[in-house]
Amino acid sequence: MVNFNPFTKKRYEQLLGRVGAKKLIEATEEPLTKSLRVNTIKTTPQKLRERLENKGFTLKPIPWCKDGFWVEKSRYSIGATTEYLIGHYFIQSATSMIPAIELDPQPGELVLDMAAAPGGKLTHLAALMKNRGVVVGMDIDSTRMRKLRSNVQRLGLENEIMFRMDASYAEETELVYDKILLDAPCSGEGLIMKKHSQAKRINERRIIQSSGIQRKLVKTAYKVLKKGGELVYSTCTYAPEENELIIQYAMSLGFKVMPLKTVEGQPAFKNVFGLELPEQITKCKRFWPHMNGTEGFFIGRLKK
Amino acid sequence: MRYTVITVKDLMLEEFEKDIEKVCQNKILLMQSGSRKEVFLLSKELYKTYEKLGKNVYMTGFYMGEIRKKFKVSIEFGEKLAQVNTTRRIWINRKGEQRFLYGRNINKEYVTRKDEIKEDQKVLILNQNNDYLGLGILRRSGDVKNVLDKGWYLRRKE
Ligand SMILES: C[S@@+](CC[C@H](N)C(=O)[O-])C[C@H]1O[C@@H](n2cnc3c(N)ncnc32)[C@H](O)[C@@H]1O
Repeated sequence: MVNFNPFTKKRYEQLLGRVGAKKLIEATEEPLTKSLRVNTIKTTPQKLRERLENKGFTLKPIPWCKDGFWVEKSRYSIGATTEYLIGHYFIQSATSMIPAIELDPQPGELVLDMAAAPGGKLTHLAALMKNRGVVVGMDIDSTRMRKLRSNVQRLGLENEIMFRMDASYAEETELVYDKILLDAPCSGEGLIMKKHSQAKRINERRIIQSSGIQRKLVKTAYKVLKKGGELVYSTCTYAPEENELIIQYAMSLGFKVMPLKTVEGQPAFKNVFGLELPEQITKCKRFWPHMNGTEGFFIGRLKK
Repeated sequence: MRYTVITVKDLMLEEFEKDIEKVCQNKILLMQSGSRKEVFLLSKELYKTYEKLGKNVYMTGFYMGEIRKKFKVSIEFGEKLAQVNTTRRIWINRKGEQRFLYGRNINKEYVTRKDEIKEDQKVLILNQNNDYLGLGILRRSGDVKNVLDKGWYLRRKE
């Protein structure tokens, strides 16, 4: 049983209504199907699929990511195959594959990933860029940074520059980026399915603290993004303070909200806790365990 | 961290010299200047951006290895060498692959094919799919000692 505290339950009811909240909480108990993203720096989806299916795994394509598969059947751990060790794939949730595809970085571009560790999305960006151009990755946490390094090496990246730094450091360098990903540090409610203990840890203080960091980082993103450049903002949490309200803040800085290119999901909230938000914000999308069968997830595509 | 540009000669190579020169052609080598002398390989394009960022870089490009007494090739750099080398390869069967990726040495019965290699030399270990798995040393007995293998990614604890 997942143990939600009264604060969280009440918030879910405010956001989704009684029935919706109940469905969300029930869906959180369901195990999530594992998924992987093929590392196209080293192999192709066809080749990897054949190799893993020969070993007794059953893979099913993920509609929004041509390099992504759900692992429907496995004879042993998907994290212990030779193909994993030689960097042919990254174990990644299906929603986590969306941000890099939406940002759609091109070979030769200069791209910034402001919260990069452990590198699920940074390695995806590099693969989409065909290991050319430059992806700059920053993260503040040393332990996670070591994991990022290990992943970058396992997957064979050659076009990255990484900093163990608060991402506001980007303002201190002279670079201006074509595209930026801010997969923001957040209170992580959407991950409760993977880690049930997370449910107890959600509280107001955490939400407020996260949204403070998110605002700071969005502001940095605006400063170091070139004019006409794009920012993808994503979180794995439900709190509107970390999602819709951050987008509203981004709009106040001068960002425009763009429609998503590759996924549908559920429209973001137009009304949160009695506050009416601009229509544009509903171009951002949410994914819910009880409606989409995925982790909880929020994504917006913004243009400067 | 600070880095200095070095050349292949600075690595004072004793093995895989030709292969390393080939892989490093038209690239820039950066060496960390600190107690650990890690070496990274950068394309010219990447180096241009690196120059603008300079200070505080945690890591960049492709990790080649570390200069200790000698230059120690990284697990991943071995894969680059395997793409150009045609003289120092050993192929092992499925069973050997499993053992090797657990960090163990390889009994000669698991070896299915090998180039003409002198004993006690470093060799590149490949499986039946031609995937590079790591580095070993061929012993006189025909067994192969494990030097590094990609199972490290699973064994490393965090
Ligand atoms: C949601 S995780 C990122 C996951 C990563 N994008 C991936 O796909 O693997 C958020 C990250 O933000 C980092 N972080 C927190 N505050 C930060 C800051 N001020 N600057 C940069 N990174 C920060 C955390 O250490 C954490 O690794």
